[in-house]
Amino acid sequence: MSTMTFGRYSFRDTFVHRLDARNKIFLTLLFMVGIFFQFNKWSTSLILSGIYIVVLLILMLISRVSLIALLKSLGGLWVLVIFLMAIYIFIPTNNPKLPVAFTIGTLEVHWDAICQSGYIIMRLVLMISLTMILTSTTKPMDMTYAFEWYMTPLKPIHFPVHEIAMTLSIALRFIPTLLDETERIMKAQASRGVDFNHGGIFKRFGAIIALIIPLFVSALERSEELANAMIVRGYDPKAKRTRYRLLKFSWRDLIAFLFIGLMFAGIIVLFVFDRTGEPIDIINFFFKVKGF
Amino acid sequence: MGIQIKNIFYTYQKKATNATLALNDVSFEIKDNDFIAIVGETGSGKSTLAQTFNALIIPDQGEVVVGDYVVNYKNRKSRKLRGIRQRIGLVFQFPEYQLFEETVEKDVAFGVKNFGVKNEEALERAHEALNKVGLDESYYKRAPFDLSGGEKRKVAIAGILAINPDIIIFDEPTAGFDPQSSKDLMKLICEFHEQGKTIIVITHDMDLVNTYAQRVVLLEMGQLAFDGTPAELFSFIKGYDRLDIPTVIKVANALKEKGMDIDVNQIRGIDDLLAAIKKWRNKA
Repeated sequence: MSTMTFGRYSFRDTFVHRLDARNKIFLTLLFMVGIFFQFNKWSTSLILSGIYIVVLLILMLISRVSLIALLKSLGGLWVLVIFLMAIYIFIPTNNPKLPVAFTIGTLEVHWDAICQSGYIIMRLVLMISLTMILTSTTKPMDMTYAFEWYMTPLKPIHFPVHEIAMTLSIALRFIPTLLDETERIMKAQASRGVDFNHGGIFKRFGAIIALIIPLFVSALERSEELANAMIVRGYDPKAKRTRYRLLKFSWRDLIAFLFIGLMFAGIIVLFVFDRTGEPIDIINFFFKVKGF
Repeated sequence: MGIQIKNIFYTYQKKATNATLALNDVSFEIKDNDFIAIVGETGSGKSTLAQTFNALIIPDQGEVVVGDYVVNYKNRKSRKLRGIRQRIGLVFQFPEYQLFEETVEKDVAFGVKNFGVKNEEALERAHEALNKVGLDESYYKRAPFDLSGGEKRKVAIAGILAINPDIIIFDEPTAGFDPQSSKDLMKLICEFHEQGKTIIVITHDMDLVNTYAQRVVLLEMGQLAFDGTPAELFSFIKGYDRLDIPTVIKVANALKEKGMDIDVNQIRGIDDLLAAIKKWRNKA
């Protein structure tokens, strides 16, 4: 059970760790939106991708998130990669600009398709890395507070903002407890001869049932106990509550906000130029390389 | 069947900075048809030790030998090791949480079937085990989740008993039980012992150790601190704060100090103490 370390919060005292959770969530979203802008000019996309990767690497360096851990966790992504590749390759490209890479029967596969799928996969990887940085630098509790803060405008229409946030934080709190419980039950069933590691699909399915049912039963019992304990201590979701931990917007947040904000503004400007008549060819714009 | 524990070491979370050495060079031998208690404070490694006996935890160094089975790091992935669980049954603390089938008999038969016994024979063995723990025919078809806590625990114990192991390990068998239920359960465990099974009980309860165990092993910070009879243990732990000498023994010791002629080593429970006092009075 101790192998599930990917994206888990780890305490370090860095610039990124100290940022306000609300700000961090907002900036992560902003960055992601930026990543998913589609440009007509391929050279723009290429340059921007390079910038994203560099920014991401710097972010990882500052927040001391291990690149190796990230690459390891991406290993599980290959099914998605093959799926995306297949979709792009088997769907014919409109007005291809690049030569044919290979043909399957009557279907001509252009280099465009392969480049497109590579581009999509790269953006996906960037997204996942960003999320990982967010989750491994923000305390889960701060995250739920931030979500609660973002949902406050919904309160007047009787949307159960506080209840949802409380549910979220309880769920997060019980993940390690339930993992321990899982391990306990697995061992207990292994003592009764269940083999979780060997055997065919039916045997394994049976083994999983012997794990899941007791786990659900104990989780339900636990939740009932917790609900009782909360009621006994006078918990009322409608009551006004004070906080032990306060989220604060500091100078660090301002710096991070300005940096990501400027980057996003730059992307928007490029996007507008890209869509209207004369797109800026950044490579020529900066380096004056003729005929590139 | 006995168990030989040879110089075993085990560390939790080996890579983490807070790696804890749970077992530190433990070796002793458990003989056939022993009734042994493993005692120690919380976190002293009792449960870890017990789990190495049926290969749920593989020691990092050293080995545990049970009959033909050798549990060590080298053959940790061997499929053969599963067979060890047929010979050594482990009843976990609060075993009632492992029940999951629709009926009591099915749940008890589950373990038996895992070891390759056919359905009807498995059910037969389940009935037998249920009768042994004192649950009659009326329980067979009931849902385990409708039973009381004590009954659930009996069903779980029957689930291990039906596998018919030679050695049964009980991890805190009486935790959360009232005195009468504890007594009944321990009587049941004694019956298994009389039928020739080796019994290993992990416990905090010194009264239980005094009354039932033939031998006690004390673990301290993952090391073997003491190995001997309960009476020897109680004189060994006189200076300890965390391990308490049973009240009966304390009373017997006090009486002896006041000049009563009493053999403290023979006092295994309140009845023995009463008998000794009566004998002394008759003599006087």
